[in-house]
Amino acid sequence: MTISLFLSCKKDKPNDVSVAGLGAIHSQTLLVGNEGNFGSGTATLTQIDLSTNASYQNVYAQLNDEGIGDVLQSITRVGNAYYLVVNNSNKIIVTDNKMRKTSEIKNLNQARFMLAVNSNKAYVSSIYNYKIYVIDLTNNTKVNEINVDSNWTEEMVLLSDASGDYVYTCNYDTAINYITKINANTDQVVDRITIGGYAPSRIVKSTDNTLWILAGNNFFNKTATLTHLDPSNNQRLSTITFNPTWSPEHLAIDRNGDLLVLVNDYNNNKSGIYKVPKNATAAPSTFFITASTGTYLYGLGIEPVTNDIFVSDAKDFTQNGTVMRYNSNGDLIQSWPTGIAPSSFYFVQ
Amino acid sequence: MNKSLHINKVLGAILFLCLIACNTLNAQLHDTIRTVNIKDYIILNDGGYVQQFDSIDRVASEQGSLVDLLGQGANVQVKNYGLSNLSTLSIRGSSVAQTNVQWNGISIQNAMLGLADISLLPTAFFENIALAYGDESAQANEPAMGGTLFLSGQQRFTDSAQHRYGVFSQYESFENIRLGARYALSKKNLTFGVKALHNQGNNTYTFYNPHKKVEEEISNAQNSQSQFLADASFKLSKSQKLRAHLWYIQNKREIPPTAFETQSLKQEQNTIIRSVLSHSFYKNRFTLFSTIGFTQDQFVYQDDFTLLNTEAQVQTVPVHINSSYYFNDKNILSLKMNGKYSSIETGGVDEQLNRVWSRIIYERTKFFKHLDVTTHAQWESTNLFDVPLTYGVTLRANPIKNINVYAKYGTNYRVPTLNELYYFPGGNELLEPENSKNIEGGFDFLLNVKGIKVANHFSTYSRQVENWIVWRGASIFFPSNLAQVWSRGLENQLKVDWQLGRTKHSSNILYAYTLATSEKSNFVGDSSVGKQVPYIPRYSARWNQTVRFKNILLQWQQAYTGYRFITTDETIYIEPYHLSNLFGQYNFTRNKHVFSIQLRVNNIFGTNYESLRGRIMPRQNYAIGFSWSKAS
Repeated sequence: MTISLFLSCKKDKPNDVSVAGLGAIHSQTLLVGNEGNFGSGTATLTQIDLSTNASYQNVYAQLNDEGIGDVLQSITRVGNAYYLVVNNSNKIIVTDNKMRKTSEIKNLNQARFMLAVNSNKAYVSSIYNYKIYVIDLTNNTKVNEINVDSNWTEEMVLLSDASGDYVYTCNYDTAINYITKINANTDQVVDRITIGGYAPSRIVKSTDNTLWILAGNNFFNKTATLTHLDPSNNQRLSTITFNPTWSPEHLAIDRNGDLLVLVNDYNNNKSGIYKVPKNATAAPSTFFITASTGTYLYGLGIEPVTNDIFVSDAKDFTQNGTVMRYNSNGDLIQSWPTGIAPSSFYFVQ
Repeated sequence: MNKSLHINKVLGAILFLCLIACNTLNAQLHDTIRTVNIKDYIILNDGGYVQQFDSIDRVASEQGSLVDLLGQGANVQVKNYGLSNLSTLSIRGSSVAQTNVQWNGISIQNAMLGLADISLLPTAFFENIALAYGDESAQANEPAMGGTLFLSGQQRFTDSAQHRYGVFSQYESFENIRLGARYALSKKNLTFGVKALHNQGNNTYTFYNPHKKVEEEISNAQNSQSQFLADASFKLSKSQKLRAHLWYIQNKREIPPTAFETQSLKQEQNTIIRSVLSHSFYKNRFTLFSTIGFTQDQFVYQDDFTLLNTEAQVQTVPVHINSSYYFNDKNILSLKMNGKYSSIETGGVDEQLNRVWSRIIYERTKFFKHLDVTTHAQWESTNLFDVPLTYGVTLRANPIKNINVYAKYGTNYRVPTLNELYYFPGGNELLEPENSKNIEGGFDFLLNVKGIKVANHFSTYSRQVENWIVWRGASIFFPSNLAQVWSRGLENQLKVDWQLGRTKHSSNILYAYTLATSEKSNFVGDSSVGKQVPYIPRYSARWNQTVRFKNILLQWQQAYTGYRFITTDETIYIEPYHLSNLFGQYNFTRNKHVFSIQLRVNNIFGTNYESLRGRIMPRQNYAIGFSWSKAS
């Protein structure tokens, strides 16, 4: 045993992982936000060139000589600026269109998602606060806070009509079965619209200006539901209920208006993606994309031009993950390595 | 049950029964019973590597905690979450929960978290400290896969009444003050002792933050800790003793931000009560040792930034009854009956884990003149999951003068913690125990020539753990029996004592090489196979050089901790570090009063290092201490 140990001795210094340079950001670039392992400050940005299939790791750190921080939650673009929402570092990093840091928005408590309501103003959702932050994009500072009903707000969408601009926000609370409507001009909550389930977290808008809301939290016995809502009259067009063992994670809408729902079964280490046709009245019985046991599907996005589906695998959250590209039939086309816990996508157009 | 497991159980049982039968028949029943010393719960050794800490080992950390003692003087990995913050122990590439801390016979691992915070274990509270490396399942009341730290006080009866008093104080350059006091009484049939400690700290220091590339000062780092420990023992008769122990800890500490956080308003508070009552009895060839304990850990975590407030209360009631029969001075048969009730209350969670286990142990010494054999088997039942039958055998021999060799094989397991089962949200009640197979061997070399005393221990080991519990997730963490980990390595401890003129010299050199790798792909595309488990350094070394001249003692401490990966695919690591400390002590006596002055300079060369990623530790710092004691 001793001899074999000596023979198998490994040198102390590990081999450095080479980083394959940087690629240009152009209209066929996919930016992947890697959360990193929670608490370890290992958030990174992966850049994938969809025209060449080349991938580049740790892009932000290479360009800026500093790490992103802890938990890169989401990526938003407003004009020529990118906003990297870094949840557990309580900040948003602002970069130019080449990913060079230009500014930092501080004092944001556990920020989650950012939504530009116009070129000068954005809303930021957060955890552990009964607030949505209002950001002045001209000087990148927090200028206001909107009080909301839950201490956890998630995705938001912007819809405009003749009466003004409105932001619809998800209040991720198991006691809440509505979404909140905020007047983006006055920053006032103006309505609460009931949906078909509790704990709304994901929201997308269709081309016909209707909303789809994914809700549920099976740890608190709130079954996953998908509500189709007409915000013009607050009518629920349909509610689809999923199998209660599955936790709802992500929602995306494709070019045809069909929905993709990513779900996980924590206890049994299973993941899958349902495809819900826009006219469906019940949940599909089988997955559109089924992950092998142990795979942890963690991010979902649809490339707007090709309608291809991008799914990330966070694996065990303590090693580098993978992004997979599927065509609209659900066939795997390509996969790329990423950083740790890839969760968010931004398709540069 | 799979087939190989069944065969292993049968083989183990046959081996065990054969050894008992063979040796019992061979035993000379008329042999004089060797002097029966009731086996205390501290000096335990079934043949493996058990490191005892003597006064030289302890001297520099006597006023500190076991973080200092074990971090500098043992082949273990101490994970430190910051100054005066949580510190955990890992032995031989084990997880924290696979390592046990046993105080006066009961486990003081928090049943919720599966860990004992060794920053809350003051060195001065324990006269007896021993560290058993590896599976010590034949002897420890709650055997652990990785190893067991044994702690207890000294309770020695004296023919006449004796009183001992002492106080100490220490000031650290972090603006920390520590005050301690102790009193002990010993009589013919009674011993009584109390120890108290108060620690108040600002934990102020500056550091270079490599993540932000700026010089920073630590914030939100204050702590306050008070502890009280009482021990009493009564000699009820010539063959019976009763012992009682009570330990109270009140700890409040702020949790500083990590290097990539802007601020932290986190704090936690622990209120811990531990008590033990034990009774020992021996008559003729029979001994009986009974222990009952009660522990309660109250935990409050608060984060004013995120408005989180979590409270938890964990209680345990362990019961251990150990009986032994000495057939003669070579043959001992022991039966251990154990039970443990654990409960957790937090939020909406109110759950219990009940365990009952029994172990039979047979020890045979001087088998074929030179061979000592210990073998054991254990059975357990719980209210939640099935636990495998475990067994083991240890062989010891003294083939050459000055050299003892040993070899061990055994199986073991770890039951899931209450957090792993019931943490909300994410706990997994479907978890199964982790199972291990352990094999190790080694030798002790002892030499005393012309006043030069050399003691060397070498061991090498291999441990396969299946169903290793892994936490995964991001916003919700959940545990699964996913991994299979193979830990193997070697350890060496060399102690040399010699005298040169009027100076006495002691060298203590420790070295450990640890490979702890994932052995099974847990999912498609898993890159962790064959890779080192995070935060287990492959290489570590310690060197403590002590010189004593009259009443002056100087100790130089040198430590190396190798690269530690923070990811399971070995892509991200934290840098290794060398630490150099210097400790000096001057003692003087006036009448029966003993005074001592200590000075300690830590991290002399100002190494900037991380114990955990984002936890930057202090550079050069110092502590001055004073103590007084008197014995009558």
